[in-house]
Amino acid sequence: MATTNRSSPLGPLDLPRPEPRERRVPEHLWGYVLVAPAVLLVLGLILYPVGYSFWLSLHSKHAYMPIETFIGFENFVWIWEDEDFWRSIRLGMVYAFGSLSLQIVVGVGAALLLNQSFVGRGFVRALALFPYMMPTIVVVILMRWIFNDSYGVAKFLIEGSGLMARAPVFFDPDHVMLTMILASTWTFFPFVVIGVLARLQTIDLELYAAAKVDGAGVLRQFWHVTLPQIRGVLFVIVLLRFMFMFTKFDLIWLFAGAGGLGYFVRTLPIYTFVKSFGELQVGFGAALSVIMFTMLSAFAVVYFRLFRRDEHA
Amino acid sequence: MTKHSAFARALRAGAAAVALAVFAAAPAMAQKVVNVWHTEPNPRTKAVIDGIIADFEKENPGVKVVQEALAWGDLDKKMQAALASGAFPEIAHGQAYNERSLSAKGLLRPMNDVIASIGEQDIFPVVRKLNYNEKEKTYYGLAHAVGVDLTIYRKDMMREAGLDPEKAPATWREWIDQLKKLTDKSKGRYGLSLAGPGFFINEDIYMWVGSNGGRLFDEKGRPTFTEKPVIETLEFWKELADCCLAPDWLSRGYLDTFGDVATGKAAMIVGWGRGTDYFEQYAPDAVAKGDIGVFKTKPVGPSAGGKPFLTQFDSEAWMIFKNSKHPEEGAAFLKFFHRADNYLKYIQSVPVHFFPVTQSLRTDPRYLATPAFQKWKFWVDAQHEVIEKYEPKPVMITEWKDLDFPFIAELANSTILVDMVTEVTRGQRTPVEAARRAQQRAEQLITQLGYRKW
Amino acid sequence: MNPILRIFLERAAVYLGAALLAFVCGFPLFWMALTSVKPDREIITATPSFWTGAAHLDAYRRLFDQTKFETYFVNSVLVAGGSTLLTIAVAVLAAYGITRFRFRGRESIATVMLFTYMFAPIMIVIPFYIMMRKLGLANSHLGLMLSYTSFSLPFSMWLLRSFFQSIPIELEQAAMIDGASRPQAVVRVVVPMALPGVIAVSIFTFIVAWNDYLFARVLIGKDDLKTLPLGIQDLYESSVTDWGMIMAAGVVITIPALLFFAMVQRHLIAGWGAGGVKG
Repeated sequence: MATTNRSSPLGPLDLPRPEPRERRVPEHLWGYVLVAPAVLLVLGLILYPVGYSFWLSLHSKHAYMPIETFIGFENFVWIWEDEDFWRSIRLGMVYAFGSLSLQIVVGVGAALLLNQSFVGRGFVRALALFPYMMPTIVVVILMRWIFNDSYGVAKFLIEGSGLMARAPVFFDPDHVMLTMILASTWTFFPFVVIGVLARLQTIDLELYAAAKVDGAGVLRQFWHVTLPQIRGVLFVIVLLRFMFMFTKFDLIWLFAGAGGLGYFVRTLPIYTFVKSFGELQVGFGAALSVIMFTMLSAFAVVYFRLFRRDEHA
Repeated sequence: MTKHSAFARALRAGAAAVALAVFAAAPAMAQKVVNVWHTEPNPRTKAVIDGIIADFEKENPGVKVVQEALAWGDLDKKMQAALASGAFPEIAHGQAYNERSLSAKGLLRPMNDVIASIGEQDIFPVVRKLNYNEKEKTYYGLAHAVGVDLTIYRKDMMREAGLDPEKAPATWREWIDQLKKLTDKSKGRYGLSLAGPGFFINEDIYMWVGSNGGRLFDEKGRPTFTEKPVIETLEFWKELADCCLAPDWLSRGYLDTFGDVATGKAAMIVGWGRGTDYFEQYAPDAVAKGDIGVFKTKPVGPSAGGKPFLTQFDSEAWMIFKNSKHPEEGAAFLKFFHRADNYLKYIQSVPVHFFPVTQSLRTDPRYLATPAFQKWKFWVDAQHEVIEKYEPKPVMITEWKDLDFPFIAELANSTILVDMVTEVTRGQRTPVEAARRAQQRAEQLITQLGYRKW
Repeated sequence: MNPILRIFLERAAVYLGAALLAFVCGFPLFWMALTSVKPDREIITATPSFWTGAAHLDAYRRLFDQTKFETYFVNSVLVAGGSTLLTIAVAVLAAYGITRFRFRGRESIATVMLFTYMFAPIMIVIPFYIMMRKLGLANSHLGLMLSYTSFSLPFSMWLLRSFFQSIPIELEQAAMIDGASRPQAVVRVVVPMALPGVIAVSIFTFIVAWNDYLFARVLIGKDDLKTLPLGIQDLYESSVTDWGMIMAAGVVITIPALLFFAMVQRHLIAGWGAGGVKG
């Protein structure tokens, strides 16, 4: 760095000359300024609703009335004793872990595939992103249409191609959870593809060349070169997808609603919805979302402890 | 251009955008805006209402009416958001139990003046009974049209199964026997198709309990789910599910059941005429041959004890919110809406099964000349007969006194009854266990809401 | 194994995988498009047909005549586009600030922001609506855009942060020594390097805004301001389920987005600054 001569009582000093721009404003202030809009937007728009929910969870309030009655932790006691709550936790976990695993496996696989060069790659890449860009309502309508047991084309294809003698009834209580997980995977795996593919693109090809020289086959290359490289991106993606799947409301709601079929996929967000918007007990609903928040935070803390390593390198 | 000033510019631009947005809203504030939320989102009805609005605005300068057509599930969410933030619409549709719940909380504006302008005696007695609050001697709502739930069936399929298509089953036993003959699982044909969403299960259960001489609540409002008629209803439902319903019946939406009858997958459904368009579009042959029929009666259960069947009276009520910005203008709009000419146009645009709430319009030659009505006259007449001879009641209400309980809406939307039926039909719990559990949950809910009186 | 055989098998596996992927993702689109042009009678039948001799655009005509679909489409584009631009601007600033300047808390800001995803949207929506009302932004596109931006910002910041981190600061410094101002250096050197990240962020935000149903339903009341998901839901819930028209609506919503991503996906390739960026 260039230096400048400054005199002081102790004699000439060689001080590093600061960059022209930075002389005006101290460095850390720039940092704050640049981050400010993002922080303000997120905190401002989320903080009030979140704070309100925490406060409301300690009260009993009917959705239509402006009065709340303070009841301390009674909502939480009721929740603890509620058989349906525990059931919704169980179903929520099944759905979240099931769809998360499939999304990651299919997403990484597809990303690897789309990273190879082949004829028509651009076209297939566009198609692979297609499910993610459809509004959930369209996905639900389309799936109901395709997997319909009377005139759905899926049944026709499965039975006609001889894959199975009798196609499963996708929307009956026995299969609906699986159908939801599959639908979730179809809709959301492109999210994983985009993240992983973008990262794959920046991997230095030298690393693969070196591995090949060492005699590594395809699988070894994946394990020793690719996986470590995408580990960072996967870390975030797994965390985010889990949070999104655990709190997913609209896909399940639009497919199965609350009653009847919904009984078999009544995850925690759906249960929260029924309590807040159906039974109109918004205090109870707020308590449920506080619990959802706590569970996810606990998960995140454990997750970070276990997998974080050199994330901030 | 420094980063700092670029940012400052962005900030100014953002502030300007916000200001502009607020400014743009300002002119709208000068006029009186009346918000109307209703649940008939088909484009025909929206267009008709736009026309009525245009005429109303001409007669009432300075008032602007904005309609919003929503599906039922969405209305709940919007309603809650609106009520939580104090942004009440002037007028909204609501089920009978919604209307009662809201009026009990003092949120509705009485509608006696609107009723008077239509002519109280002109309105069908059963409609008056529905919307009149006995305790306060006031109307808080007005049904937008009249319709009842009937059994709809395919005459050709009955003939094929060797059944007389004009003979309505009188008891549940007879009905199940008919349905068994109409079911051929190997061909994917089922005797009955029921709708799975919670709202429809609520409907079926209260109608069947009521047709079995039973009730859902006692005088103090305590649920009576463990009483014999309810248990028998659950047993009946299980038998139906095992013999004559498709295995994925819980996933079928209301309109899907119409599709089932249209394509011959099912022989019978329970419902209203909302699906006549569906039949016309997807089963024109059956319609042309007159193979779509409705029974004028419904079967009763073993404990009916001579009492007639109970069927549902489907008519969402117009309600006016007292704390909205312009309730008086809202009332004026409703009065205008119900002028014979305007109301006729509305009735002609909604699904054909809806007929007018006023007896005068029901017999008006202009209404009778409506092409859709001509085509489906037998259906409307059947409903009319049911209204005259039997006493249909709104959803969840097996006895008129139940309307006065302020927790019906919450209970209906809570999935308690729906889960009871689901567990029984899936064999997860016996009828007695499921009923006991539902009873316990319902009592807890009513207690949590603060309405327990026993 | 014979090297030629192995290459052949590898290639075959790739093409097979690509075909499977294309089928699974593309067949529903094809089916949707086919249903939208089939005559009604062919739609609800026991044996579906994979082609139709009597294709017609009647469903599309019905869609545009009978509904306000064009308006909804424009609204969705406006809101999604606006949210995306806003998010990119704010996230780029923030990610740059975090990675180029030292200040207290810069390590943890991005991580802490991710915690906002732990709150289920279903519980945020009502208080959010109340807040928007107080700001006068209820029933406005701006209010909707703010909600989408605030939802996508934490992820966007996180993603861009890691991209910016991997871009060595020497590059900007080199540009600045060459006489460029800092913003110019950022725009000309850093952003192109981080382009894959910016594209990923824009895709994510666009989709969040394009697909959202809950917030749009609660915040938007006026029919003229509605976005596509609301429009389609209303269609589905109407008296008659007009499958042809609904599928037509699905096609109209999807085709432009499909084209957009076909164009953009090429830029996910980090071909820029080849060799200058290490993984």
